[in-house]
Amino acid sequence: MTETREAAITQIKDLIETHHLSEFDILELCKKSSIQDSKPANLLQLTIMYLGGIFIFAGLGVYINMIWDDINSLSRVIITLGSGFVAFILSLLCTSDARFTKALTPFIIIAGILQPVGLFVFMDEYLPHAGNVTLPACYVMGFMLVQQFIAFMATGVTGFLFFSVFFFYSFICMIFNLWEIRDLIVPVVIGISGLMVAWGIDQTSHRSITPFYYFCMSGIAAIASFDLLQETKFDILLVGVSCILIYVAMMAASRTILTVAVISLLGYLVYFTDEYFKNIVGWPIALIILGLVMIGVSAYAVKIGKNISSHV
Amino acid sequence: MSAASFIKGNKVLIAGVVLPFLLIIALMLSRLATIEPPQYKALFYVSKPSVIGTIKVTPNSDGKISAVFQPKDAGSVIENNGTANPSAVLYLYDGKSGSLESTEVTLDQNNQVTPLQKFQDLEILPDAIAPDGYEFKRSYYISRTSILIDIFGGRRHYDGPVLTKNKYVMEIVGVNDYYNRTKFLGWVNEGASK
Repeated sequence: MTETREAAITQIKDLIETHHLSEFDILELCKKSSIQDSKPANLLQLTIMYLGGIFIFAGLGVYINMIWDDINSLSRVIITLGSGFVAFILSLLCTSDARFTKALTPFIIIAGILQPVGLFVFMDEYLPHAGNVTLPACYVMGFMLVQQFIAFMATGVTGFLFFSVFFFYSFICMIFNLWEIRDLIVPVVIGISGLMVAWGIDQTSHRSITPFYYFCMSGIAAIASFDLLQETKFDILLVGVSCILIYVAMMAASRTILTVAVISLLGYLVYFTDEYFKNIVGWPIALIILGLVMIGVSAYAVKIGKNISSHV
Repeated sequence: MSAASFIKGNKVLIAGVVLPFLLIIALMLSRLATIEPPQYKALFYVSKPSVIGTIKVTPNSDGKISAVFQPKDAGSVIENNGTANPSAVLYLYDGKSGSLESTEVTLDQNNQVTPLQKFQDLEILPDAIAPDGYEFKRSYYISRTSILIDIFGGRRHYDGPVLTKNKYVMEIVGVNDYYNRTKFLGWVNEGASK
């Protein structure tokens, strides 16, 4: 028994060295095992605990809002930026101790929300107002991007990567605003870029954050394409946009992108019907045809979804 | 997997990160390459409403401008926001430097229009479109925009005068026109000013 156990540990050690697995990969595996073993009672307890935490946090937020006008500038900065920075430090401490792994993500989320708010409060309280919020927003998003990315590089925690991506695109949006770049192609490129980044992350062990970005970025790409092409002679290309999204969904094995692609296709079909068939005699027939097309598209989407499930 | 190998092993991810920066560079270069600044200054004026009439500025046949007082007809409606004394502010916008000069004319004690001062010697081309292709629009708004740009970029509220050429729009900031009474007079050639 002892020899078998030692042999197993040696084998695990070899596997870790061969595949360059980090302690977080192992922890992730242990976490999945513990979730599978947990009973519904534990899940209920956990849910109630999280709800309790949210209530406490909401209560503090409401209380701070009530006393906001009565406290001085330094107190406002300490309450927001100070709390956020402390949460960030605590999240870093949690990464070094396996006992506090469950507290890691909440601390990262709190730090990711409170720190930028605190930086805005700091600038509002202590710096002269120039009337243009874009430049300070650039500084805030840039600072948060650097902080979160360095934290990710140092710890390899997925939560930091999530906020790195979030603040990266926030920073990019602020840059476009700052330089008055408002071309309709901009959101299209942002959507494509976001899909590429999410795809890249999907190939790593940090893939748990990709559904959120797949949803947001494919939605942005679809809406931006509509804004770019609607009421132009190239609006027929909108169907191509949906087809590309469905293709990407198949390649990425993502039902999230597939959902957005199907919704966008239905939306485009409504646009075409409204644009070209509304004022003709066959409008009710067009509606019936649209309904049949929608049923067909949904059936096709279900078929693709099953294919994706079989590939995952 | 270390962070360095994570970056090296993900070319699609790196391409996605670089893509917005390439777009920024491409758009900035395209603007610099295609747009030349306006060669002609734009002359326009804004008349303020009055209960007794308005001051109108018009181009003469010799290319100069003159201001005249036009009394209100007896039967016309008195404007709510009208002041007692009519006035008009003339603006000269230089698209090259972005500078905006102005002068105001009003009625003196004898109900005569005050002199145009520094703009009275200007010679103007009263064409709608300048020889270099720029066009003056008194109230410009972005007709086609994206809901995403409005959400993430903030909706623009600018609806003042602009100079436009093709798709390029140059906002003339600093014009005081609450009543949308901007009227274009003409283009001023740099060398024509005496």
